[in-house]
Amino acid sequence: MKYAQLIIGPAGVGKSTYVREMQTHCDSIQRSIHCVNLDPAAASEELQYRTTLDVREFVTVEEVMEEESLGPNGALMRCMELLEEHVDDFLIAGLQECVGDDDNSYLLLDAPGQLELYSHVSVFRTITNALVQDGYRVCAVYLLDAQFVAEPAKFVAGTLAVLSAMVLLEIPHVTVLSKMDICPEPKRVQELIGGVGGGPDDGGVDDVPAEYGYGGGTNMSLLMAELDDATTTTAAMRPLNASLARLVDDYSLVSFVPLDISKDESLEEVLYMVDSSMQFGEDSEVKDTL
Amino acid sequence: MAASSSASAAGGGGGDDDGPEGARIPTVVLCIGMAGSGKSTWMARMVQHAKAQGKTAYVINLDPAVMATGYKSNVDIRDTVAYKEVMKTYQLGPNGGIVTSLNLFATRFDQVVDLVEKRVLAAAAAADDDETDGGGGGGGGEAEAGGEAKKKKKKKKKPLDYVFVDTPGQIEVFTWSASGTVISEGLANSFPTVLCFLADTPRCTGPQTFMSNMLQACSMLYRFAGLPLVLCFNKIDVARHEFAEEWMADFEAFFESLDSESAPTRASTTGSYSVSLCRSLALALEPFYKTIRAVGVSAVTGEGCDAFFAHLETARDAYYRDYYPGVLERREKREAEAEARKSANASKFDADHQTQTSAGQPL
Ligand SMILES: Nc1nc2c(ncn2[C@@H]2O[C@H](COP(=O)(O)OP(=O)(O)O)[C@@H](O)[C@H]2O)c(=O)[nH]1
Ligand SMILES: Nc1nc2c(ncn2[C@@H]2O[C@H](COP(=O)(O)OP(=O)(O)O)[C@@H](O)[C@H]2O)c(=O)[nH]1
Ligand SMILES: [Mg+2]
Ligand SMILES: [Mg+2]
Repeated sequence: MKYAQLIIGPAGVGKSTYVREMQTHCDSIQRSIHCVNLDPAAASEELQYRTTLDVREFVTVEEVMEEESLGPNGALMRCMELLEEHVDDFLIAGLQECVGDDDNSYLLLDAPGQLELYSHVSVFRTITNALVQDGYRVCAVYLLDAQFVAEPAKFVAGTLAVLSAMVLLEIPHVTVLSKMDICPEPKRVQELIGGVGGGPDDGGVDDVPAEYGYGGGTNMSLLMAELDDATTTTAAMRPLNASLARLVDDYSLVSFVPLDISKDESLEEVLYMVDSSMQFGEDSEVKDTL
Repeated sequence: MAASSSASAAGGGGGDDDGPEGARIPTVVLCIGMAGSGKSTWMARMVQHAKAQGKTAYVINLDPAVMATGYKSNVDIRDTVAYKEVMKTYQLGPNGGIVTSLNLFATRFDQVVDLVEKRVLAAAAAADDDETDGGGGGGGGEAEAGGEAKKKKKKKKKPLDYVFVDTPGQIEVFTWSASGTVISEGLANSFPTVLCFLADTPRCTGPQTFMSNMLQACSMLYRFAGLPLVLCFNKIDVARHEFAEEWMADFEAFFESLDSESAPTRASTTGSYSVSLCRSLALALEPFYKTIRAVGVSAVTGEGCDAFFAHLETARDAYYRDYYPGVLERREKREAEAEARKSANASKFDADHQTQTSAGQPL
């Protein structure tokens, strides 16, 4: 089995930084991963990681802007259309060549961030389907900026945004709350994602015991109580609050894990969450016990 | 300052059209939607329609990277921030350039709010002049000149009915950024503000893309803290929107389409998982569908404009009923806090002043 993380989320949320830091982290623990850039708009100096494969060898937004006289948005959409058309001969064939068919090959795919790529067009579905066909287990890693979910209402907004991408992608996913290192209210975020029950010693991200598994599930009852009381909640929204809370609870639809890239433990925790959702490494464990 | 607070919605109260000093408070329409959903084209249409109805509009463009807008704007971010320069100065790509330009503009957005408030007050003053001038006959040449000026003023300063605001092409630049919060709150704290979410109808005719778009729209309700929302299914000249109305009104109909649509991919287990997820989502969104003001429009042909503007009126009422009390509450809290800080500072000053004389400590 081969594995792939598809890193998605709004522009500027820290996808490329995530890939870079994961590469550094994996280098240090001598774990082999392959990083693939799928963003044809990435500036050349922007990617500070080694790529196994880079979509810009195939097409760049600059070229398309010039050749088809499109604006940056239109050109990116066009590039991704081209990539979708050539997913087998560029992406899959390219991966075969660079990565091969080794068991346990592990990819990080760095996606561009324009949201309509996730809600309107099929490019990422095509890419994940092609990867699955080629023997990959794929997990979407949706990055959300932690500072934008530090309030109940915004937290719900973020959850819905994640779902709006996931409904089209049809693969397991983990939501990573990025930029915890500069989030003004890290404790608040922790509280909302339900990772820590507000114990006496709950400090930052690093104080949460690893076995707690903070992707557990959101603290919906807390969330909804606050949401119903908030001055920003209008009477008309209360039934919707309740109905969304039930949905998220019943399905444990969205699991959140905070990421502070300045801390190795935090990177490790995220990696562990994503690995588990793809059952990475579990196959070999099963073999051991036989 | 006095002007700004009195022209602000504070005086608007319970859905009245008139604020203090007889100033009419315009409705702010904040256009959001995915790139290419037709925000800018719809802006031009709204302006045109409002004018045709004898209404006045104030137009704000917040897209620093747009090459040409199809409408004239009163405030244009491009006059203040040179996006290409920003890219060069800060060594950013196109996207970073747009985000940074909007951030730079957001730091000065209170000035934009002031401009609109001044415009509102000017209209009120012009109306007052009309009344007083009309009453007294006045005397000699001076009155003549005054009459001239009055006419000009009157032509220029009709009360504002709408403020239309266009946002950058990419939705996340506005919806997932700090500047989007600054700008939307700046507007919503001063004027009845309505979100206009545009969905690209031809691109959401599939049940899953439809669901994806509805989740986005619903997300906006929470992102912008309960501001009233009008959901526009745009481009109905290309694809009719009746399917969407049906799916929102009747989840069985949505389920049927979901089942038939996804039949080919049924082989995979994730496919059926997604179908069941979509079903649950549709059920969970019921309260959203029930209360949402939805309308099919075409920015190109103008179809649906009347229905849209009618929705704006009820959305404006909803702002005053549901959102405005929160504005007042937050304002009171802020003022109380400022007051507390002021008196704390004053006593600190007294204390410092005393220590300073003895210990020579700087403030
Ligand atoms: N402090 C901090 N900054 C970050 C983090 N992740 C990304 N950034 C910054 O956010 C900006 C956008 O990051 P980038 O990885 O290019 O975002 P992408 O568009 O999602 O790929 C860059 O200036 C990064 O340095 C983080 O975890 N902490
Ligand atoms: N047929 C049709 N095309 C539309 C309509 N509204 C917008 N468009 C087209 O959609 C494209 C994107 O429109 P634009 O207003 O620039 O979208 P924005 O990125 O949301 O501002 C343009 O080619 C428009 O001509 C509509 O109602 N009908
Ligand atoms: Mg990137
Ligand atoms: Mg536009």
